[in-house]
Amino acid sequence: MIPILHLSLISIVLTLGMVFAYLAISERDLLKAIVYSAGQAAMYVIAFYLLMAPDIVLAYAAVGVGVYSAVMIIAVKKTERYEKP
Amino acid sequence: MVKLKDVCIGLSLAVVAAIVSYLIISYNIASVAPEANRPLANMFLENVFNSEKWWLWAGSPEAVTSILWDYRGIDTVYETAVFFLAIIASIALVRTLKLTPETSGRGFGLTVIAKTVTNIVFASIPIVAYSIAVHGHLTPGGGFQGGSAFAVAPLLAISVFSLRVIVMRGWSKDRLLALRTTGLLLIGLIAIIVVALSALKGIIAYVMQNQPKPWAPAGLSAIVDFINPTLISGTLFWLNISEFLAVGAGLSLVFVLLVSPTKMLDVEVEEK
Repeated sequence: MIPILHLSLISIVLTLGMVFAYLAISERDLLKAIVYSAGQAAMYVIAFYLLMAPDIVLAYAAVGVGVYSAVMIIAVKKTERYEKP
Repeated sequence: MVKLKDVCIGLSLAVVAAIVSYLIISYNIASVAPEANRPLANMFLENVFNSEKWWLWAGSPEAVTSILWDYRGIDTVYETAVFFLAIIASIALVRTLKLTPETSGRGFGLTVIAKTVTNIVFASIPIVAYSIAVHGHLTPGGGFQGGSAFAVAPLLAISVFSLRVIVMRGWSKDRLLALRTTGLLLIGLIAIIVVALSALKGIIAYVMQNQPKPWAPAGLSAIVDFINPTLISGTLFWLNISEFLAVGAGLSLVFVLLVSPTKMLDVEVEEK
């Protein structure tokens, strides 16, 4: 039997991740784009948890949500906040 | 404000994703993962903590850590070395930079509310990170995960208290680099310690060997009788601690260098 609930949770979470990825790409305010990107990482963390990979969850939560966003925010702070059209 | 263009792009993305996933699944391009474990997974699950097959076990109930540090240990050592070289390269760009409290910005930080909250969180992050690292041979987690969780603490402190406070508290470039190098040296030492000890006795052993094998009866014991009998899985515990040191200090070092004032980095470039 295919675990329907499990698979549908994974697909919902990954679809939300795709929405966040699209928002991050299309956003002109780079600070907001970083927050969307962190949201995408959070969705992927849930997906990895549902796929039963807890080791990846721990690494991805720290790197994807914390470290990566912080490095990007530092980069934005030292350059420009708004992307020119 | 939602634009028509955004809606169209989103809908077409969703349609493409749905069609591609339908095609992939229904034409056996890539099958859905089976519920049953694959033979390789069964082999590892059967052997990692099976003391009856002591010549194949890793002495740890955590299959991922066992594979990372025991069965495929040398891979992880090289991976750590690559990470070390990447950090060395980024430090080489700013090698004459001297971070002192006078040169590291104004240091006002955020409001009192933010500082008080961060004081509490700042104490708990290293504890959680350390716990992830030292239980790496028992539960999911390990040195890298613990180290990268630890690196969030200096990041938070820099953004809330400012870089100047962090530098005044002694998070200097040299000290962090020393901790990072100590971690890597410890990993190298643990990799060859079994070989060195068994060479004194005249026994064959392997680099990165954890548990004894019939043809190489050397290795660190999986259970240590310290106050209580404690499972430390031979070298896995020590390797996780060393990796925690290396990754935590390395990432903290990169952050401290990244947020150092741009003016100082410009002076750096002009002097060259």
